[in-house]
Amino acid sequence: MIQISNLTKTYAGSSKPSVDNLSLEVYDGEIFGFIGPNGAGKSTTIKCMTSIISFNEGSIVIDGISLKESPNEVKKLIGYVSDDHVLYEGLTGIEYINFICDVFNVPSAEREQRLHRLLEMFSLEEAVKNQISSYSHGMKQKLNIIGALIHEPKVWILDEPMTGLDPKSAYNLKLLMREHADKGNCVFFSSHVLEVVEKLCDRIGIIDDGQLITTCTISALKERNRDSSLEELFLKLTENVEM
Amino acid sequence: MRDFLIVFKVLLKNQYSYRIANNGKRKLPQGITTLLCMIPLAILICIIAGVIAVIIPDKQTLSAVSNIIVSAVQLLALFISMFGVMNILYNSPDTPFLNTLPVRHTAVFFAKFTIAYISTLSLMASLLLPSLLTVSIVYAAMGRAMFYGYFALVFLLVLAAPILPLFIVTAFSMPISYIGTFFKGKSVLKTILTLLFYLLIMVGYFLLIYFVNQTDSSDATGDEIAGNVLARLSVFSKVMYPNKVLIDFCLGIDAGKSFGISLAITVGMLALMLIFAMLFYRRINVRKLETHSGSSKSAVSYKQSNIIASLMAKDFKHIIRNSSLAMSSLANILICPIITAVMYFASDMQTGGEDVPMYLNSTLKLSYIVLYTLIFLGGANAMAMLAYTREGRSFYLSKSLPITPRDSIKAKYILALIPSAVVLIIQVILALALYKLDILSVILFLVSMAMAIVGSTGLHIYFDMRYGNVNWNTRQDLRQVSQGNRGSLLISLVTVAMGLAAMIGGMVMSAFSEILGGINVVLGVFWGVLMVCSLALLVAGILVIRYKAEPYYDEIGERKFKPREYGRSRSGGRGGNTLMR
Repeated sequence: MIQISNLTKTYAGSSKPSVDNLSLEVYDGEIFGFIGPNGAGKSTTIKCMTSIISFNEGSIVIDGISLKESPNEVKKLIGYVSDDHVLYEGLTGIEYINFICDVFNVPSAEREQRLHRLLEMFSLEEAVKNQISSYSHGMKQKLNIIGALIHEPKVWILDEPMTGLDPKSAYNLKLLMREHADKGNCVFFSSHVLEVVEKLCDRIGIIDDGQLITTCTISALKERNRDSSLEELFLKLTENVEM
Repeated sequence: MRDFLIVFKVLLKNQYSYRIANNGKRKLPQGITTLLCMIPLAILICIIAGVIAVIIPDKQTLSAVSNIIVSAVQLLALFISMFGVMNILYNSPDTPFLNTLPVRHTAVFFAKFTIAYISTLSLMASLLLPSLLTVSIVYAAMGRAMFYGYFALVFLLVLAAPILPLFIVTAFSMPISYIGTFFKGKSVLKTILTLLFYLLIMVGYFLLIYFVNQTDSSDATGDEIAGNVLARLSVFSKVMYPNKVLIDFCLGIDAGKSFGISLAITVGMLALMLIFAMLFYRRINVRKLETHSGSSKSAVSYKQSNIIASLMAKDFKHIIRNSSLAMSSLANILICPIITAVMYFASDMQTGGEDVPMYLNSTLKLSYIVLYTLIFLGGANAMAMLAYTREGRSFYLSKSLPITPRDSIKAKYILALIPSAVVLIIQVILALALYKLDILSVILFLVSMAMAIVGSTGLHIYFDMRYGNVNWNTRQDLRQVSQGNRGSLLISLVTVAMGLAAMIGGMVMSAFSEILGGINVVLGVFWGVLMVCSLALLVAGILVIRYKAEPYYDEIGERKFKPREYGRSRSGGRGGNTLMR
């Protein structure tokens, strides 16, 4: 479970908070879709959750462990896919995965088996021995995902994970997300592709201008607005567009 | 010609467009900015040139002295601009874009070469014009025969001066880059070759210094010394022949013949560059854009390592598989034993001279080796100075992983010490075998230097955590971050000051050893003070790393990076004068 309470982040040199008093909860067993316009504060929120940047006020608790008090214990629970897939380009794919496994203490005996399964799913068997600098954008994203999942974390935080993926890999990732949530874990998922969010997520949160506008289940949203798609509802809420 | 003009115009416009756009204010033109930065050095050169000009007897000597000035400034430009010029020519991010345009590759090469020429010209002109005019005005004022057309032709001389260093950079780099394209995917081999090439250039440079600084017997008279200097100037002048013939033409010495030869040499250099561009430039640019397998040849292994070893291995591979990063990190450390060895011969320490007592010579040797070790392994340890900065944005990935700041710092510290430790062993071998220091001195040298290196390395890492910035985009940005770290600069100055104090203090005390109680007392004081200073550095480094560094780990990724205003760069602007932002 993810609990974010009164999260506020203001970057140095800026008078306006990028994330302003944001509170939300993500429960075990659900896929939570986090959506918003560009510059709304999605990535800032995610970077606070993954300890990439610090935050000014509020608290983040994951599985009962406070991020501020025990950041490393929280990080051990998280599998994070970044939106910019910046990796260690001097390493080969295998070396990168071994490094991640060393950090998360994945036993040697299990590494090969887990890796082969993921490589097959994302069609990266051939390229994994090559240097990451030679990878295409999509291949780097696949490796990014494999690195996030190889240590079987409880909480998945995925920031635009489908970007650059081919259809097969994108489909397999969605299957994995659903499988992971159905096992009682939670998935925090941010994307601009609202059709995917609509089909995949159990609940969504919409952020705009640093503030959380609304959270609700997909089914409740559809119940209230029968003839509108999520895309239309999103525009209505964030742009005040008349439908 | 048309292609050249089209590309050149747009590159030139792009380079200077930042000056107005960024904050709406107009900035000083690049030439004026460069001139202002070079004023102190220019004044120094003018003073020295003016003093020398008083004793110049004739036009031939004037030509030789002018050649020295031009050659020295060319050498300075070569070393300052070398990597910037290579970035403009080969690593510019606008290369893919230009490749799609229907323009000849030779035209693109010459357009970029001209941009590099303009940047280098502003640097060289700010030093050459005042110094050459000073020499010639003082010479003429002493009543000697002077060709007054020189005062107009000196501008031609300045315009032509950048061509030689740029030709050298291009003539060396293009075939080597071409050969390098065949090593695509063999990044470690490329790194090793790059480092070897750099070391060869440095050895050549120091051998040149040694050649120029050859001294004769110490009991020569003033006239004999002056004669020797003039003879050496004449030899040097002949070595730098392209400069000699142009200067001779400007001074009216065999004007017709000199002009013809100078023109032929310049046309020859340009023709050779055209041939190289036709043969190599296209392939270099195309191959740079191709991906490669770059696969690891070793068998796949899933062996588990502890976190420190894993972090060190990751960091080391990141460095060694990137030749420019390896150069930034390792060049200073690797040059240390070369300078130590070359300066031993260049300073005539092996003989010491008949009038120099043995103990003075021993102290001199000791001081030199301490000085170089402190400067390069302590003050200029780029592995430590860029410990976190070199990671760039991949640091955010590290930050999202469950790696404690303590483990991260420990891994960086150990990795930064390894190359210095290896080179320190080489320094010890040089101390024993070449400098022939006694065993006690060598042991004390090893202990004191080890302490100083461990301490300064810790302090460098701390200051990189405190002032470094991972949000850089281009190599120029990385250089700006590393040069702007005042903490690292302070540590470098401290180690240099220690080295100089050891050298000067050792020499002065040795000269007065009889008054101070003998050479053993002098050595005792020397080692005592050096040990105390090294210990202080060690304690400071370890305490700072242990107790002060960790809080800065979280701050590293949060500093925004402000690139320097481009267009002021001597190497041609952002990312090597790119059209891409």
